[in-house]
Amino acid sequence: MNVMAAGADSEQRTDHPLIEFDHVGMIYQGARQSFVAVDDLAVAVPRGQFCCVVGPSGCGKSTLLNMVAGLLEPSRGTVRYEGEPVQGPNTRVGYVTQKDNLLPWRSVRRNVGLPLELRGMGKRERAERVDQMLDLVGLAGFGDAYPRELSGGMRKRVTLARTLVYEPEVILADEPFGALDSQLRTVLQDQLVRIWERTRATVVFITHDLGEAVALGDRVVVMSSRPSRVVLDRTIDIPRPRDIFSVRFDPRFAALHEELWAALSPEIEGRRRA
Amino acid sequence: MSAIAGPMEADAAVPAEALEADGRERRLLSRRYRLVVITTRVLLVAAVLGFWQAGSGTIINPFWVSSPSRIVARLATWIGDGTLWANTVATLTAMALGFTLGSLAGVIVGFTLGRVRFLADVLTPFVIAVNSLPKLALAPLFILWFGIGLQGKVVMTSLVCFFLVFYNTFAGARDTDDELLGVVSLMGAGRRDRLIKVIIPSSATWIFTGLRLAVPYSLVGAVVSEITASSEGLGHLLKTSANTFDTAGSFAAIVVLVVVALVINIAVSKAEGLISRWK
Repeated sequence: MNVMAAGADSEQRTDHPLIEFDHVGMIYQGARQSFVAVDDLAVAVPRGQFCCVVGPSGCGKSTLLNMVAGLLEPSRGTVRYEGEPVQGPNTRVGYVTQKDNLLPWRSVRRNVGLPLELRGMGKRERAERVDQMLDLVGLAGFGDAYPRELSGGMRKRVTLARTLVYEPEVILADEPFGALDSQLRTVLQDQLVRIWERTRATVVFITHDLGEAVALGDRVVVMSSRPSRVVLDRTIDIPRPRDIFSVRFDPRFAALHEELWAALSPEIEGRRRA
Repeated sequence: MSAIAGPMEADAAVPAEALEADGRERRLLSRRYRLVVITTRVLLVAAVLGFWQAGSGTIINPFWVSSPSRIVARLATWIGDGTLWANTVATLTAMALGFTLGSLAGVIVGFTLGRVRFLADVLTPFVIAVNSLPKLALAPLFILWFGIGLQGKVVMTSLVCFFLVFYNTFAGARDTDDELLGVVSLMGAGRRDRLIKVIIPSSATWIFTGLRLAVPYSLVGAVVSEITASSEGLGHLLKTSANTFDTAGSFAAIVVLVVVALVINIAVSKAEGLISRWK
């Protein structure tokens, strides 16, 4: 089984992992003091993997995504994409940022259509794709609304739709479902997993919800509090396709959740004492 | 007690209809309220004018305060002999030219400085220095340089407008969210796309704020130059009237200025409502 998987891999992939953090460090220079956000991080994400990252808040998880996106340069080490160092905005990734980053002067439809517009897709095809995507994230009928008129959760879904609509090779997601109520979150997790199982994009997904990480990911990386290191790197061997609604009752789910929590909780405790 | 319970029960039984009736009642009430407000306003104006008319010549010498009837008579004369029209056109022309030139320059320079960091860093202190100068104090100098005709007024007005629009455009261009620009770059936006699809629209609200401020100030700029020295315009009319101890003429000119300012402000707020629907 393993041999077969490796053989299939080498056919379509180069020897490089798609995303690689090669001993990456990030130091923020404050006015009075500098602090180390990330210290000597070495993680590689192979093509097609759904990789979840959990860790205490403020541990520099967003920093990692910004580096993959090429919006931020590491202070030390190199971030590689297909073996090449990331330099400048990486247009092969789609980024669902923590903030919604919508264009407030554009309607929902024109916001979601923006990446397609930038890629020169024709008007009619664009409209079709956008409507389909809005339907998928449960925003059909809100196409003509402006971001200001929507709730925080709805804006978040617009952002998600805007990223999924052009099917980028890599999706970076920074707590995309954090602001949603739990029912809606489950529905959107389900949508995301279905879309992902179809497109097999590479996903780096930051969350503070361990359950979400186990339910969605092929792998969960647990980060420590600042300066960030990897505390645990766990493969999630729950078979796919997964049903988000019932995966939580899988006995492996409970065991993995427990194992991850055991790794994560000292970090959170440590922060509280510090 | 039962009198109170009665309608409440009816409310519960037919909520939709009751609500509708309630809404209608409230609308009726608000219409009546508006009517009362407007009537009071009219009465207030009538009282002030009546008091003015009655007091002029009895309590206080009309030489100082003139009277509404004299002002109306003066306006009628001015309308009849074309004075009003010619001077209003002169002021509006100076305003429009000054506003257009000043705002255009303000947008262009503001945008350039806002997006080219080096220029902004070098020039910011000078801009602040010039802006803190009361621009109207430059009117005598401009008249010396450009004469008492249209040119001097236009330069004055455009300078006032320039700074208002420049400042807001500059702030708007700098205010563009870097993270938003980053995310849009990831979607494949080049320099041109970022400018056209993100930076310009995101600065637009700021620019509109500047333009909205600049409109009434363009009237101020034009009228102040006219008062300082000029051959025609509402400011000129006001000044020559005052200089010849003609209070009726002074008040008449002020009335015209108020009307012009009001019309302009209404036009600006209407235009604003049309432009920024998304806000």
